[in-house]
Amino acid sequence: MGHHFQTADLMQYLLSGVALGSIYAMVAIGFNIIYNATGIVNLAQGEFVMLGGMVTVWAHNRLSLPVAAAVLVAVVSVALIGIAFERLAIRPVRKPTVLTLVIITIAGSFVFRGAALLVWGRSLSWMEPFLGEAPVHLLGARITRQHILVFFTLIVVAFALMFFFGYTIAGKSMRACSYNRTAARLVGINDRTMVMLAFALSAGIGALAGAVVVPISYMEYDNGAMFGLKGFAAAVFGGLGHNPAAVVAGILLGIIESLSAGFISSDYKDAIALGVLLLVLFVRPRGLFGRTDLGRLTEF
Amino acid sequence: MLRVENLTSGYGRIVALKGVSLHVNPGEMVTLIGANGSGKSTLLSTLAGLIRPMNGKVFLGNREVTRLSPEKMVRQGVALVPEGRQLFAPMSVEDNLILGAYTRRRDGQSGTLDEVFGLFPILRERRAQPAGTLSGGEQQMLAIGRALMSRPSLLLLDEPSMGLAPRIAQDIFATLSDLKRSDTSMLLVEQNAHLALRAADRGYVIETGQIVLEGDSESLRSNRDVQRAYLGRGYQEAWDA
Amino acid sequence: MRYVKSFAWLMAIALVATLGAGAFAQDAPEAEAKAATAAADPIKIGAVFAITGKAAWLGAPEANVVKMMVEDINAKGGIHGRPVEVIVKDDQADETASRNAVGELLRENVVAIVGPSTSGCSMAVAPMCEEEGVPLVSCAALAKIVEGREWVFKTPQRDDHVVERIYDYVKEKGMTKVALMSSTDGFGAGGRATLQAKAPEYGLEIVADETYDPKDTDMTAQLTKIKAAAPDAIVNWTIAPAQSIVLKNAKQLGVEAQIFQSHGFGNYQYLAAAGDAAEGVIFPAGRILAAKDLPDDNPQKALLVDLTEKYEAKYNDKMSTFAGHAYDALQLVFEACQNKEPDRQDIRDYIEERQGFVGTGGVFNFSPEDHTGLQKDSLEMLTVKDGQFTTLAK
Ligand SMILES: Nc1ncnc2c1ncn2[C@@H]1O[C@H](COP(=O)(O)OP(=O)(O)OP(=O)(O)O)[C@@H](O)[C@H]1O
Ligand SMILES: [Mg+2]
Repeated sequence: MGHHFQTADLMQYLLSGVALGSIYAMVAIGFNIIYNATGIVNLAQGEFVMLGGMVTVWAHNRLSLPVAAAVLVAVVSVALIGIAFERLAIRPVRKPTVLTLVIITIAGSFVFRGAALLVWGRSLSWMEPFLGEAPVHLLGARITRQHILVFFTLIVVAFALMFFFGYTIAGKSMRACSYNRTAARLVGINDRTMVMLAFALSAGIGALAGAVVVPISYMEYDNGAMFGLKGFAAAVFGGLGHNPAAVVAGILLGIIESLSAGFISSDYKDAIALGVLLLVLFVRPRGLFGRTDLGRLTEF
Repeated sequence: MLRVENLTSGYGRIVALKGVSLHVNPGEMVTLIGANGSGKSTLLSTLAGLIRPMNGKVFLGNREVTRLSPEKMVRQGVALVPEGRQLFAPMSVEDNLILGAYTRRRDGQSGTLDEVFGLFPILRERRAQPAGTLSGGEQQMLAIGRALMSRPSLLLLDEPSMGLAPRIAQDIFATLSDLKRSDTSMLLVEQNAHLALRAADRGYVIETGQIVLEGDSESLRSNRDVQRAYLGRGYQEAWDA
Repeated sequence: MRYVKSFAWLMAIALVATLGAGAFAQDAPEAEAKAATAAADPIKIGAVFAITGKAAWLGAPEANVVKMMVEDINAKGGIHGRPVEVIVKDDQADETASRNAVGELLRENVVAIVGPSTSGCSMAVAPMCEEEGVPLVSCAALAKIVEGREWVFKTPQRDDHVVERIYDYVKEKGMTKVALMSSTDGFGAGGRATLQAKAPEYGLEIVADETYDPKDTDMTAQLTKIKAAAPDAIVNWTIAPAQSIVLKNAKQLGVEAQIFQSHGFGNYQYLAAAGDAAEGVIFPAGRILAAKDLPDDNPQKALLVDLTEKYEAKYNDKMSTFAGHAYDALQLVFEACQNKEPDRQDIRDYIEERQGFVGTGGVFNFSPEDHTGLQKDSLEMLTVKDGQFTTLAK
């Protein structure tokens, strides 16, 4: 055993943590997008991940679509579900307050879970890894190609969003809406459309996360809550509404979890991760990277 | 250009405008003066579509536009420079301006951008700076510039001189006068009646949600009540003038 | 006020949606069972299963098999000429819901209750049945459920027997270092305690003892730690899909130790989900999963093959061990009613004295001292070969 073995273990913990955290980060980004557009925390976010995984498996195994097409079907259909959710449950509320809307999203999560149970039953949804089973040896650690794919998906999503929000007019309008809704309407931006777009985007990203993770974690109709919880922790950890921070915070959370399981005790890994989160929030209530200088207030 | 008939508007049960009628002719600059809380901002917000009126009608040319949303009003050529500027603070000056041209995002807008930079050269220097870090005067220029990016035929301005040093306020009014020459109609709300009546062709005086006086700038400036209430002259002084 | 109203409205929608889902999913066994036995004065039996919720994969097949058995017995004219009505309740593996369900069944004057599906719920309702004097035949594994109780029985193999079978095998193969892995839910924690307690008796050293949340998606950290401890055997104890994930992770990391799972692995979907990684894993289970591999002289074979065929044809689904537990429980009650009177005291007395009852879980020999009726030979060591459950060749 000796020294070499130890470093290899450390690498294994780190890489496992990165892969785990990549999923948390993607879920956190979904939280952020809707939070920025509406000021609410969408507690049905984890359900989008569950639906994404379920639809991908269904499209691949039942409709015999190739993996890429199945993922596309999942992302598009869940994005449409996100839009429908906004149109049917969020928009019609006549006097919206943050609290009512958050409660609606909780109700939404029940509905999605119930619907998944109706459609797919209680059975486990699973599929083969996209790029084969054989593990890859990396820096002394062994990791599956699917884990690496999850990480790269996160990176691609993060850069795509950076481009979208930084350089496209649609992305800029969404941001404008979150900074100042009245002003955005005055320049001709339809705030309702932006909120809808936020739900579509956030649901689509959640679905993509579900699609790439399903060969690793499998999916059941009631898996959404766990993804939602961990993703929410990552979003708060990084500072709600801040996407690059969510990437870092999500991965950190995954690494903390993995290292505590490895070096301290797997009994306490979730407690330790939660403890670190609470500590950060105690010292920095706006999260690791939450900014106070350009603090924004979103009314809805 | 703009015709407002018997407009009643407010917030929930609070009626802030009680049957206001006024008009703005093409190419004209009209000012609305009134004390704090008299309903000036309410009028402009209603015209911009932010508030739905309870009663009355609004016409643009021959088209009725009474209950259009703000998004549609911009497309009808009406742009509001809101009270307190309402910029997208964390975004750059340039992004603020580009978003001003949101309704024209499919046609090129670089021409308009150059025109705005021509009117307010300082904005060109600051184009990459976050709007929230500009000085008050620069922010007001940006707010006007952003509204102009939609190429409005009617510009609604809510207290553009608020909180600005007199020099800067005068600069901004000089620019507004230039704009008027390029055929943009304007409805200007001001506390600073001196500046407003000097720049405008005509004016209305509003008190507790009702128009109490109207006339061309010259006659309003010489009206004793206006002088006493809005031009800051004492009773005796006004009588003597 | 408006907020309160919209809140109530939303909760109502959510409730309808989830209830709707639940009702659809459980295939309304209650309603159909009632329709089939419209004749007057039926024998009323209660059943409580986790038909929906986190342990639905236990309760759903249990409810299915019960429905099938009720149809069968009524088609044959019922018991003593009276139709049989089984009132099925869904407790969603929630202890409060389970207690409420049993309360309702008691008010319906049922003669006996089968279920609940989970150990937690069974522990929660056992005292109620004990106090009321109504026989309860639980479908959960924990041996403690029946300890010191007069009215409570159970049909699944005992979890301590499962541990003993695994350790017997480990010892027989000359392995000495064991690593434990378990989920943090009741099932995992119970198994972990038994595994820890029995290791010294077998002279085994526990070199690692790791846990995970049943909903966790990755156990490579735990397995990396275990791998470094170089055990001869790994025993993984959980009922969640984590069973399949652990196998995949172990394969990913190139873990070479022999992996054992609990009897909870006896479920085809987890086997399929683990794919290649499941090959060679060993676990003790009832004989139902390997029915056709049994020698013809095995007393259970006829029952197991027959029940599996009927179940799979009716529900177009793989037979599960848990359906077997419910079958045994209800069959005991039916038999008691047939041979004595459909009366609470008679049923209890009959089951307690029953010897040589051939069920799916084994050949049961009940006694006042043993309300589980099974010995550890009721378990078979199974393994996975070419994606199928099969008996472990000696
Ligand atoms: N959002 C609101 N809700 C309720 N009442 C409002 C709201 N905004 C303005 N009011 C009321 O409507 C009336 C007119 O307000 P308005 O803002 O139009 O005045 P103003 O003439 O623009 O004043 P100022 O010169 O101070 O800007 C006031 O009595 C004000 O209190
Ligand atoms: Mg005002």
